[in-house]
Amino acid sequence: MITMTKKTYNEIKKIIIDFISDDVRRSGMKIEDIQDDFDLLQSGLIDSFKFIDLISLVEEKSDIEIDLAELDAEGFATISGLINSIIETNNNQ
Amino acid sequence: MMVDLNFSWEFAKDLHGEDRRASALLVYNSFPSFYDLLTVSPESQLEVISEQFEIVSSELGFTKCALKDGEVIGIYSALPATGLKISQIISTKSMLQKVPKDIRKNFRKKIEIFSNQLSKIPLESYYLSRFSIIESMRGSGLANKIMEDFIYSGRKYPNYSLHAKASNERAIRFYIKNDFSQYSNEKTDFLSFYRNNNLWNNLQKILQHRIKKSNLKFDQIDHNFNLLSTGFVDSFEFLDIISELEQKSGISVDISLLNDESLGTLDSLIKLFLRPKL
Repeated sequence: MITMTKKTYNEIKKIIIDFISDDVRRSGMKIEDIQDDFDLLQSGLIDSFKFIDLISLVEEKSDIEIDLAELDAEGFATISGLINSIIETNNNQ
Repeated sequence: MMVDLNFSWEFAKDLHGEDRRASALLVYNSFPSFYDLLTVSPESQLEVISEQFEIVSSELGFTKCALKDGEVIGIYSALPATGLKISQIISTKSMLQKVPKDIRKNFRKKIEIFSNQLSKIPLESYYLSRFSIIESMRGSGLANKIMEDFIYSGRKYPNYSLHAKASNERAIRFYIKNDFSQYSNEKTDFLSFYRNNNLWNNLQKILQHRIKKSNLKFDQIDHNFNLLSTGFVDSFEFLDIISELEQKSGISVDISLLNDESLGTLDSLIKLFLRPKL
């Protein structure tokens, strides 16, 4: 079970990394430097609208719509925050 | 106009049926140009708004409604400006989830263009995101009462902020009368306004040397700390504190209004100073 969750985590992470890779390169950073607690918005890497596109993409590829009702806004814009919100929605369904 | 202003507060998320719908309608009325970006029927627009009352982290997660004789007569929504960006994302996302797939992309693009029409606001502030009263209560003093509650809700923040449509002269006059000033000079459709909240900072300064003399630490003095019942000060010194705060803030207060159960708490003091001008 744990392995499955972990795999799902990494799969979602790959979707996110692929999505932001051009922006990361443009900003002069390296993909390897991007940690899971990296805040995509606060860092200025992408703007709110691109973040909305990213959520939609992750939702589409995971075939899940994030449950926004109980969503904790704190940390939501980090890579791990976004992944966990998908996983938590999945676990609660 | 003499109107009986006895009303009660309810959170929009706790309302049901017609009251919930009436609250959603007032939210719509406070920002029609935004909600009209959603090209769905008026009833669907209200449903989308209504659902956001339940989403804690959305822009409407903190929406308070004034009810009088069972009727919703006014609403406001507020949140810390530091969380505004993420709340807007969550709100937009929740709206996207509720509209047909074929109009999602179009809606998302329109919101992006629309957002460029909002002037910058100070980050360290408590933001009034929605504010509306029913037509028949205009000029009744209800708007002042709602503003008072908003100011009180955000009493722990150094500033207050809001947006007003540049063409809405009536609203702008009201905000200026309530001590708001224009924040940014950007030429946009929605101007930003702010107001300093120096009361809390001044009160802390006034208490500073008294705290140093006591056995207490600064972090033990919060809004619920009772200056009188804890024996921190006696009633004469309590009156001295009020006078000092009056001097620092330039506000004269009526101490006969200090008669509630929480007499002596820092909260009750701040509340006394936050009563709207008559």
